[in-house]
Amino acid sequence: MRLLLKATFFYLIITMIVFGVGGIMTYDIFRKQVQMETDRYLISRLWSLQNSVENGESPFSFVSENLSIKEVDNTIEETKYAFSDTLADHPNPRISRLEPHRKLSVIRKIEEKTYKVEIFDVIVESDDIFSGVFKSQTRLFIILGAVLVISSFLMSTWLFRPFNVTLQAIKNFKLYDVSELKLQKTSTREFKELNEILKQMTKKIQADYRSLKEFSENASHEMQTPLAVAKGKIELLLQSKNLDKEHLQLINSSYEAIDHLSKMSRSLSLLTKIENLEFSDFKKINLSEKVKSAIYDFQELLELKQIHIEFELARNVMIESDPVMIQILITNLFQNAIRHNVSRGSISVQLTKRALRISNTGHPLRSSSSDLFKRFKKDDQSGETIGLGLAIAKKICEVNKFEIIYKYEHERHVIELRFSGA
Amino acid sequence: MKILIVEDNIELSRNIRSYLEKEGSICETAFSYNQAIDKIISFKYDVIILDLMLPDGNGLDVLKALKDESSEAGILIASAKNSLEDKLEGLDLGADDYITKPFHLSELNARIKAIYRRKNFNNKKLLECNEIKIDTDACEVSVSGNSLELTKKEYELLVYFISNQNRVVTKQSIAEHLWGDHADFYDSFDFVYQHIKNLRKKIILEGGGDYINTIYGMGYKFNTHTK
Repeated sequence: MRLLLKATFFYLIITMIVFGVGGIMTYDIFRKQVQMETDRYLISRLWSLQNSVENGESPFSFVSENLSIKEVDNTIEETKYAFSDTLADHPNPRISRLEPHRKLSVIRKIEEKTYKVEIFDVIVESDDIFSGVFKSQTRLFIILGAVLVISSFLMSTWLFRPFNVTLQAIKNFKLYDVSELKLQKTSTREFKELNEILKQMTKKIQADYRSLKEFSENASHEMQTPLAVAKGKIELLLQSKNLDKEHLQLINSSYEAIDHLSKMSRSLSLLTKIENLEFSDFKKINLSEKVKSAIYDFQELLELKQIHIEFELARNVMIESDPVMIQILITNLFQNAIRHNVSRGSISVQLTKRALRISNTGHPLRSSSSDLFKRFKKDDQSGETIGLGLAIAKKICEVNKFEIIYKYEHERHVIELRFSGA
Repeated sequence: MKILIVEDNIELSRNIRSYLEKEGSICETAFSYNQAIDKIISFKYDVIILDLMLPDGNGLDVLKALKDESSEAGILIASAKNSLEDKLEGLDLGADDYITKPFHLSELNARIKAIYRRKNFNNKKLLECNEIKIDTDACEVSVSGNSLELTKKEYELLVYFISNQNRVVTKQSIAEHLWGDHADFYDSFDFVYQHIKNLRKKIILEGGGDYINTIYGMGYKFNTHTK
């Protein structure tokens, strides 16, 4: 739920409570006010009665449904106004119903005589007051709620625009991007602070990442020279006479290990180069030709492994990329398809305007297919391969904004490249 | 053959030197740009092995100096940088070949010999080893006068062996020589073995000696002293 909408709901709940309490208070005030008015009215009637009697009129001529006068013993003292609520017949005689009435009862001495006077008046019923207050409060609440929800919607688009821009920028943020985070200027302090912090953070992250990358690039580069020295020494050692089988075995193991290491560091530095966008000589490339020549290049290896290859290449599929990078990509995919094949297996290559699909026979993966494109993750842990081929392929796809998908269907490994721009 | 090794890493330089000297080549070493320039001006070399990253200068400048001297020396660039631009620039400036570090010494040796042959110093494009004769221009091989039909890979393999005769050549270096970057296969050694088996058979069939010895686990040796 949107923040502003959520806040609105909270606000509405609070308003509801306030309206409830307010309603009770209004009801109470109303009721008291009405009572006060009624009481005053009753008193004024008493006074006018008193006046009339003092002027010589008979008090009993005033008796009606809501006024009763009785003469009482003269010894009884005058009393203060005593108000009480009571039920009496409805003032309209045709409605035979008891209605709540306000009663003023008092004992007065008028012209040497003592009377007990009781005056009644219909009062406004409390449920009438209640329903009136309730209705008006509810309507107010509904209007307020509607206005709040609508305005929160409108505000969230306007007020939160810088925030949404920031969100989008973070979503599109790439660690290896050189460009700074692009954020919208805002006058809201919170968003300003957020943007400031984000900018500083991403700047620092990018700088750290760059220096880390530089380090790994330098390390893999610097490693090559000592490796070359060691490799050379072993080659020289090999030339010496009187080496027996045991010596050769030892020499062989260390030679292989060094060879493996040097291949690994070469692949790693290639990976870093791709990440650093060092292959940026983008031009139009005829992918059909590239794939065709790769098939030709691998012909011999295919024959030696007795792998049958079939292909279906659309003509003149053009993509925009760096030729070296594409060469590496295609080579890696072919190598992969050959390496993880079975004897007398097959490879099929399909190239269309939208995708390149290479599938090969092979045993199912033992490890998870989601690890397939990760560095040093290899299904075959024998150590013969380096486990960077597909990581490099994936990285090249990322740089070129291709989609690379792996599936295993009908006992075949399928790798599909989808060109977005095509 | 007179060779100048321009390489700032002393150990690497020493490796190359001892490997090449066993071939009977005369090697001199330069560890910096200035030393290299001094040597180039003072002496004549058949082949110069040139590292591009020198402590006091760029190897490409050595190339320019050589051009100014109108030197006839063959030049092999040996660089840790595997960048295409450097390679193209080097070749543009008159280098004959480019090898990326780390390299196999046997590969370096084969490349030097190829440059040497191409430069045609003694008008000798013929590679000879006992009864085997290779015309490197026409890519033709004959054994005791009988022509030998070889596939491209077998031919490359034979030239590689003869360039490194009587040396142990590792199977890794053979695989890389034959397939370059594509050699990154765990079964490429089986392919090497198959090619060698075929080559050996063909030579023997034409009356040649059984020169190729297997060195346990490591690789092979083209032994010219085999009867």
